[in-house]
Amino acid sequence: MSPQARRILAMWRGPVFVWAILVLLTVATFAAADSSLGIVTKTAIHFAVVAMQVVLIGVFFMNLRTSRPLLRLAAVAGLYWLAIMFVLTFNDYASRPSSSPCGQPAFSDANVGQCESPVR
Amino acid sequence: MSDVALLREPWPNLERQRYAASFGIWTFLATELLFFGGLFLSYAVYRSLHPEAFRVASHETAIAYGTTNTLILLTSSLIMTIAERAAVEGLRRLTITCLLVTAALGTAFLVVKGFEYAEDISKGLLPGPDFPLRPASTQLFWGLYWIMTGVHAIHLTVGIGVVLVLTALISRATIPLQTPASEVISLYWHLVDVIWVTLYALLYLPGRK
Repeated sequence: MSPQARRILAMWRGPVFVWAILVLLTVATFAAADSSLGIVTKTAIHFAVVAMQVVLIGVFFMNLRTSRPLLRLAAVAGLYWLAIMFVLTFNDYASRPSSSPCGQPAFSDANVGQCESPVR
Repeated sequence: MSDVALLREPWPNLERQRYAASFGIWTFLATELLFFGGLFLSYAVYRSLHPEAFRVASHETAIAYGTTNTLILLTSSLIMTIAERAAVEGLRRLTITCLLVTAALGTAFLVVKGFEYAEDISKGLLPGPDFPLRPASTQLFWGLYWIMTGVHAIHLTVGIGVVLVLTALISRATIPLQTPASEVISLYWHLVDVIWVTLYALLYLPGRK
């Protein structure tokens, strides 16, 4: 094998390995969705798989493994602001008093046709 | 090609230029993440308020198309990674081939998505007065489905366009093979992939068995 062919082979090896894991994770999350597991377990599996896929793509395909600290910081900054947005919004929704006689969150399906629409 | 040919104003050296290009695209990707983040947040809030409606609505998504597209896009990310590395190594033919395959896989994704949209429309899954699913809040899911997958498809179309432009410029030797644009476009492509794997879990998986 020529040195160039060896170089090209080495170039493919790592990314193909990561791609194979990504495909296996997709198959695993699909299988979990079609299984008889509980909805909470399934949801946890789906989110865990997404998190693993995002990390694999970020670290290996997007080169964060070898990037400088500033680039890693820029990559994490988006997630950080996203986390703030989620935490603040869910703080709001989770802390709203249930104003319906059904004891359900405002505008939930359980209220339809049974409860007054609360003033928000 | 020499480093001088790659160097652009105002950068004092090529390393600094590459660093700035990477930082610029990562900053842009962070804003893109927040853009999609607003949609993810809307999804999360409405799903927490209407869990059963979202399960019923998600059951109607065409998971075969969704899974096929996930595999297509993951493969395109692999090929794009190889294209970027081949460009760094100075392997011209491999770079061009991989860029073309990446664009072809992106196009295949859009074709599959087209078939999926046609099936969704034939089932009447466009939110409106004659929406076939109950409860009415299933329309929230389908509204988000159309917006999120539509915006993603626009991003992918832009990605295909820039990959093809880069391919043309490299093959005509208008820009050097080791241009920082390769990494910039590659990172954008991977973000489109990251968004899709998230959409796959949110839209296609919750309503199964």
